[in-house]
Amino acid sequence: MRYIILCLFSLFCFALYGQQSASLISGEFSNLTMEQFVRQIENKTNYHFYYDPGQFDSLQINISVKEQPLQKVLELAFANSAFHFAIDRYNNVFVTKDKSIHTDLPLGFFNKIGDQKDSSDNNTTDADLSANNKNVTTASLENKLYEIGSKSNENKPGNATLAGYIRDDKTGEPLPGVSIQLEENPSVGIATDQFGFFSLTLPKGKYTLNIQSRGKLDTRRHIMLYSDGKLNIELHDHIISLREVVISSRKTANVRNVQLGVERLNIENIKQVPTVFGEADVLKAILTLPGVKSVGEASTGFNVRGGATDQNLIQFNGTTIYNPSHFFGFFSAFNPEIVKDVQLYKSSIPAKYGGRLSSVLDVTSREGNKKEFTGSAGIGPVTSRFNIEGPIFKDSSSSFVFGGRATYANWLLKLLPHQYEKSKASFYDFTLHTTHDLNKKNSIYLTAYVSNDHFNLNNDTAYGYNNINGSLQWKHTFNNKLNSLVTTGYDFYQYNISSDANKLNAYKLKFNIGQANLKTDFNYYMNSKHLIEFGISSIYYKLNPGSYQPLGSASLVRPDVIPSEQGLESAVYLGDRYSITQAFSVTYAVRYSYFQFFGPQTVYTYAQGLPREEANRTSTKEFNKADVIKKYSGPEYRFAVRYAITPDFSIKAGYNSLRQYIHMLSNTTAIAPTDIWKLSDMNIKPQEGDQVSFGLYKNFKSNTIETSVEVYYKRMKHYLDYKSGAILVLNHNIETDVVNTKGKAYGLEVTIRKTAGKLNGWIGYTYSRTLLKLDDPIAGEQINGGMYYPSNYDKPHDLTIAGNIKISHRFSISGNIVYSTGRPITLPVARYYYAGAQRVYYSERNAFRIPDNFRMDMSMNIEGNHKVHQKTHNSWTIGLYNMTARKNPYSIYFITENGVIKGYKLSIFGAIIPFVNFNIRF
Amino acid sequence: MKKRLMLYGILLTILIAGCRDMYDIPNEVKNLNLLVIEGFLNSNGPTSIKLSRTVNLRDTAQIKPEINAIVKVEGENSTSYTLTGNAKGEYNYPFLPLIDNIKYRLRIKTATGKEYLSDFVPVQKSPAIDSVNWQRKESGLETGIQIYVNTHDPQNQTKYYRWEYDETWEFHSPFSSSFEYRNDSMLPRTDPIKIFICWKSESSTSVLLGSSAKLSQDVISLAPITVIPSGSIKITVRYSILIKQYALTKEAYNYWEILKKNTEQVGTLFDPQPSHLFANIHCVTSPDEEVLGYISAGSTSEKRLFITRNEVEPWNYFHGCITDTIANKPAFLKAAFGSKILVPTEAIYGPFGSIAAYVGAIEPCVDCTTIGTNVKPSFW
Repeated sequence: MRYIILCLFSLFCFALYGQQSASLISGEFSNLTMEQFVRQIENKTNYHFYYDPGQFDSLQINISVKEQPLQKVLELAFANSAFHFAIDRYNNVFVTKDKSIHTDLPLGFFNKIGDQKDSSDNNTTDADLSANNKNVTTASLENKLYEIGSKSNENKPGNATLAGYIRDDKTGEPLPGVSIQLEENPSVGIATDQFGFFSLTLPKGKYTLNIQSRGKLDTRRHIMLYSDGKLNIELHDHIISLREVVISSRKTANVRNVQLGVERLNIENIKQVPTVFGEADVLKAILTLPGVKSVGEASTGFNVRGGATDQNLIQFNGTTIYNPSHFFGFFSAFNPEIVKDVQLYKSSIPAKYGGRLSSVLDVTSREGNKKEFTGSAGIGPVTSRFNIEGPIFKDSSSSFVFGGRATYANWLLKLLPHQYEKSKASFYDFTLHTTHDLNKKNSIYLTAYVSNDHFNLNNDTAYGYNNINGSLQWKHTFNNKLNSLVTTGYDFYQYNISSDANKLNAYKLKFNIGQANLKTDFNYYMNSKHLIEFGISSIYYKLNPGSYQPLGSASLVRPDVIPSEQGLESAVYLGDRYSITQAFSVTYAVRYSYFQFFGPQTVYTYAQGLPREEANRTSTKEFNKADVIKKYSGPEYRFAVRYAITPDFSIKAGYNSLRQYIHMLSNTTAIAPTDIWKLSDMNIKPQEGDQVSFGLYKNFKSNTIETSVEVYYKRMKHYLDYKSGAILVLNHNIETDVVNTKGKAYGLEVTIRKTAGKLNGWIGYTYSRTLLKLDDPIAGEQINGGMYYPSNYDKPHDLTIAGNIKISHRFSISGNIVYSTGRPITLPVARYYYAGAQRVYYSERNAFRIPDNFRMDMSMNIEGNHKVHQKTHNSWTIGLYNMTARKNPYSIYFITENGVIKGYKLSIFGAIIPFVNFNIRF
Repeated sequence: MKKRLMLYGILLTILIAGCRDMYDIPNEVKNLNLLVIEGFLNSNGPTSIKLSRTVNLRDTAQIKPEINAIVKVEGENSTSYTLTGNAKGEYNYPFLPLIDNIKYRLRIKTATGKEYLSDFVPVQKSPAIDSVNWQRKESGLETGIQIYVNTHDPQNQTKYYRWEYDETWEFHSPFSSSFEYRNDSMLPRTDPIKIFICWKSESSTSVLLGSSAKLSQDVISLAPITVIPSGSIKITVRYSILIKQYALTKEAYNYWEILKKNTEQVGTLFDPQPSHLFANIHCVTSPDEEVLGYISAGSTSEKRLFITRNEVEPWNYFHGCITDTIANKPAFLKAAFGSKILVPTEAIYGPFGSIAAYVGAIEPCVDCTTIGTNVKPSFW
């Protein structure tokens, strides 16, 4: 109801014509649609109608009236229907379905506002930013003029800066990515940063700010800018989607944003993507986006625009997650109850990020509720999860959110043949995120994340891995124009395998990687045309590439420890977002990264141009602790330009280059849990890559349909591949087993996205190729004769349709349809007899493809009742994964069994997988 | 490492094993016709080198032997021995007098005139096998009798091992036969034991490797050789396995390991790309031609193990044979036994001592020579 009233105000602005008149209506209205009926009435009278045509599809009007007032006519016309109408004193008629409108304001409504205005001068004036005892105005009224700064400056011309936070009205959670634009000049605007912060520098004067955010009610604020000042804005949830009142004219973020290849999914979108066990999964949702692929259904590794799986920087609140999966890749490491949204940068990677070639996946957690304690829990067939959140101090300055997730997957293993009944698999993860506003200028954010996976095969081989991450962020606002974010943290990943099946061979194998980070990012909102971003960062890596130790006193295992590796990756960057004209804007940035590989280490050099083998070793050199063994450095360029042909149509182009100093060693098709990481060193060069991209963006139907076409071409070099029979773990001379590969990737991505309405969703089509080439002289062997060959994840055609239909407020259905070309695979070309059995002979790599992949999933979300005053709200998610029960091949292989060759097709899911999840909020 | 990942991979594969379907071998016709050389220059026994060719995947031929080649073993000390070939593509030499610290190579000249030469390989002495033993295995991929081999090298020099085995088992026909149907008449069988007690032999078909390179001593403990599935016919009477041990160089071990990975250890979620096999034999006349195979030299050591049924009881072997009763009428007997659809086992006597009917079963259930041989092996 509140919403409708608010909207009436906006309607007043342009519907103020006509006079009080009681014209009487006569006529025969038979078999008329609403539209025809309204046109006839409007022609005969000076009434003006407001309604949503979509709701009146099925209405037919059959009345006959003689000299009746409109009130009577409409009563007849809408008798026995769900439609209500209201006529105000300006001869405006509002026809609504199910709900009626009051055209008069409650008594005293304007008086109240008047009262506030009297006292608001003190409240809104906030020129002295250092005055911490004063609260920043929280502007919650749309039709009120907020005065910013001190009036005494009113007469001096010039610019003033308005800054503040945009938050959720219920939870106090900051809202990132909210667009703020001037009504007077829509090209002037800004989006809030990850902390919900915005800063706008404008000539002094009176403005109307249009504020829009997905999932929130659009709103506006009237301001009178006298001098620098602050304004916090709270947004309401967009709960009721009454289409007749949605103001949707300026949701143009995709068209307006200068960046290319940026995908943003909030948790609502993520929850709409059905997954195999019914639990919302960040990474599985990412895989539905154009340009993102994986080798198969059970792998968590993903490939962005032809990049390798280790070329994605996975960030969780500023920490780096090395292994983002649980339980053989069936779950992603992020608890869906904690995640707020994810952002995937496929092309225009902001200069503040670096260190990986392909993409940045930025996962952000929710901030806790600053006003009251709430929580939620979910129960699924394999996992359960919960979270609790609330204020830490009573003054709404701080909050925490804590979530956990655990599995009870052992029953799944019980379904295995009885020989495996002693096997166990489990995982858990915990996330804690706290925020605290020390004062208006300083906020502290703390994130801690722990995950653990454990798996035991028949009680004799145990396997486990952990992520441990912590970060502390300090946001400092120097003034309205300049703020900084200091992030420090430590990220750790380790795995271990132990086996005591045979006492003499019992061992324990360990690997770990740790990185300590410190970075500072500055945003300088110079004026409404320039946003300068600059910063520095450093990452100190320490890897223990492998330790192999005896387990138990009887073990004969010879301890073998690969010496640790240490390196320091530093970078500085400077960039500018420059809006040259309303239609034309650019971002340009340069990042300079610098990598040092430190001792202690024994380093070998190899003869130039010869196969890199121990036989071709030319010298050995010992380095002491902290000696710099090798330095690599280079600039990285990030450039994007946008030209808006019309407000809802723009073209963009971009160029990006990146460098990567850490490599994942893995010669398996999918990311295996035993993959290890390696720093660039004397013999292993950093990976380098660059990408050009071009895109067209056009919105239709009041920006509720967003379409885009992007093309890209990408080059990569010094990407690691492996020699035949390479040993990656416990290899003291790994450089003799790896070779440099070149890669090129190109593609076309088409997206159509419907963002509003009962039916929303997206269709994404991608044509892409990824080709690799190995012609490195150090290899000693060449793959496919040094010619380009398709990579494991080269799937040229890829179509995803993901949609959600809201049938009622309590019931919605989501579905997705996925089609892609089968991935390339190396198949045998001949057969021979050796060692008592038939054996296959392989030739060209990836010359064949497995059959195409097609899958359809569906889920239903059923909400409990929506009564406000109940202790808990609950909902059920029920769905079917792989509805067509198609056995999508994961791989095809040929194996010698009992002396003969057998061919098999392996599918991960060969049946319809039903799932159910129960969620509760309290 | 591979093994550890395999274990993990195995479980994953099991998790999803319901989704493994047969897939037709691709009908790829390439006619590569590469030369395959398999063999071992044996310093303490007969040497046999097998030459064959690769065939297309859907070719019906089991093996396409390469005959009429000239195969020589050459020593660094200029000694040379010519092997004699047969129609199966096997080139044999009864006893090569190989000297320990001399390296040897293989020279092959095919009938078409192409010449192949192997690298010089050292003579690797295999240490004695310490023991071959077995254990009942109740959990894991296969249940049954797991055979293990144990060995060690007191000099700590061997480190890389490969094994082959020959299994032999005595088995009995499910039914003994007292009659035989000959010349349209039923006669008492003269030597029923000849079709009742038989032996069968099989050789290993998979690559068996072991390494002590990561251990502080050159000890191989409980290296798995094979599993006799529970209830298998192999231990219905008495079973024997002869294990042959070869010592390998590191390079030879790598070759065998890649061969095993490429052809026997695939089908997990984490399969690597098939690796290239670098043979140690090269074509001299056209150096770009690829050759398959790895030649090693050295001594072998052997050990035999016997297992009798009473050691493994309860064994629960089920032969799956049934009998049929045929009335003693010439036409019926001729129809059933004349064309060997059934073989008679015993007679059913009527009230007055006459034969009312004969009992019969299909041939493999009565005549064990259809499966194995009734010649007792020399070591039995």
